[in-house]
Amino acid sequence: MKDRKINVDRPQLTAEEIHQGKNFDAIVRNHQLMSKPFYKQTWFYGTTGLASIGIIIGGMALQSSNSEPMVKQEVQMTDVPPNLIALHQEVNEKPVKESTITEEKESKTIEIEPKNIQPIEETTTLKSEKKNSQNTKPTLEEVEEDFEEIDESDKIEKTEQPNIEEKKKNKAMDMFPRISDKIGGAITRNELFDNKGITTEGDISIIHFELHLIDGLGGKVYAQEGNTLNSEMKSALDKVGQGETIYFENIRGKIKNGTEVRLNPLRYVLMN
Amino acid sequence: MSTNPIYHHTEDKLLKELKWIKYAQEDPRGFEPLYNKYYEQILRYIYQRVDDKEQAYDIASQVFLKALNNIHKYEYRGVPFASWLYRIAKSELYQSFRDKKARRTVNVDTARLSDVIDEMEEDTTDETHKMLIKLISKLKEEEVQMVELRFFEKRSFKEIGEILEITENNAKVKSHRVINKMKKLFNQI
Repeated sequence: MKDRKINVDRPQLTAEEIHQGKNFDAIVRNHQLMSKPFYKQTWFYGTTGLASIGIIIGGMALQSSNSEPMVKQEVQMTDVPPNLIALHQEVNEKPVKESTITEEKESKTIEIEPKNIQPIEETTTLKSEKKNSQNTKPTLEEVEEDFEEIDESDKIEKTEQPNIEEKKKNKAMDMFPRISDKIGGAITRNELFDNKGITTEGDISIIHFELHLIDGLGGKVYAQEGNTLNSEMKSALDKVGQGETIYFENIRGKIKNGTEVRLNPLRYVLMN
Repeated sequence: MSTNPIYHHTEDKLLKELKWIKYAQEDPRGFEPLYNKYYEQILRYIYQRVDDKEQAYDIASQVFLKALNNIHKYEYRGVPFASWLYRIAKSELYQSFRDKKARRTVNVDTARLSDVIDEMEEDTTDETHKMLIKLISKLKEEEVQMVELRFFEKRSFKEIGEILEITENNAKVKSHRVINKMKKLFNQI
């Protein structure tokens, strides 16, 4: 840099001149203008980034916690047989674990159909008649014996015992009337005229019922005290054509303690 | 050669200055004591190298603004804060020369020229003064800087070393070489 000027004995700056150029406020103002705004500072990016990540994670956690009960509910509704849930809830007042249900499904005790369990006390003629017939199904005592045998041989866990007891209770309270084990739908005349009459699986004696027959001229009602069809009913049924509907209404029964109850009506379609 | 009392500090003064620097790092207003302390010597350093007073004011303002903007980067190395300001001033000055905002000027004080002539072991006459001024215009920029700092501004080798970012011994060696070169050139003329 040879392009330089040389001054000889130039006067020095005076104190006044030096003071003239001094302006600290202007420097601070310029500094503030040149400083980055807060949204361009590193700390702002860092804090905002961390907060965003926190919100995302929190949202995901909240979402997952909300969806969990739905899944559990779905499992209960789909995988577990309804009667088992009801029984277990009555005993333990806790939801049944899936593993327990699976074990129950696999165990031989579940193979005993609810139909096979009879009321402890015989209140209808059903039990004795069943014993005599060829299609005799095991009584409750027999089932219990079988159950005990299976229990000992297969080493079924004792925790399942309360469920069986609950099942027995449940069967005793079965209040659905039926004819020839049918609670509705198609029925043949033979089944209809079966000596068993109207029965229940539960501890209930049928004491009254009405047969309602509807033809082109109107309806006719036949009442009967007891559970079997009388001769008037049978002759009326003989006249009913195939495919017509017959109704059993006002079915009343008496339970063990003597209380009279009204049972559900029956409706059948005559097949022959 | 006397030393610059504003530049040279005792340990206590250095620590006090460091406290001011920490205030300034926390709040720009805390920079004011440092500004007040060093404004005059930085302005004089700049004015010594430029032709115009207003240019000197502008450059001095730029120096302190730059210092305030970068105060958070300042690291204490046991030397006065002024050495950092001088380095910024030097950088700003040469930037102004490159941008042609200011013209490089060497302000020669005839009273101080005598010291250079004594160092060169020549006779002090009007003619040698004129010859010396001619010689200065032929020197390289670094050599002119050394003459300015050592003879016209009367700075110690330690201070020169800190401003030019060289060691004290290196500053001595460089100063000696400049004198030898000037002697040689003086004899050639």
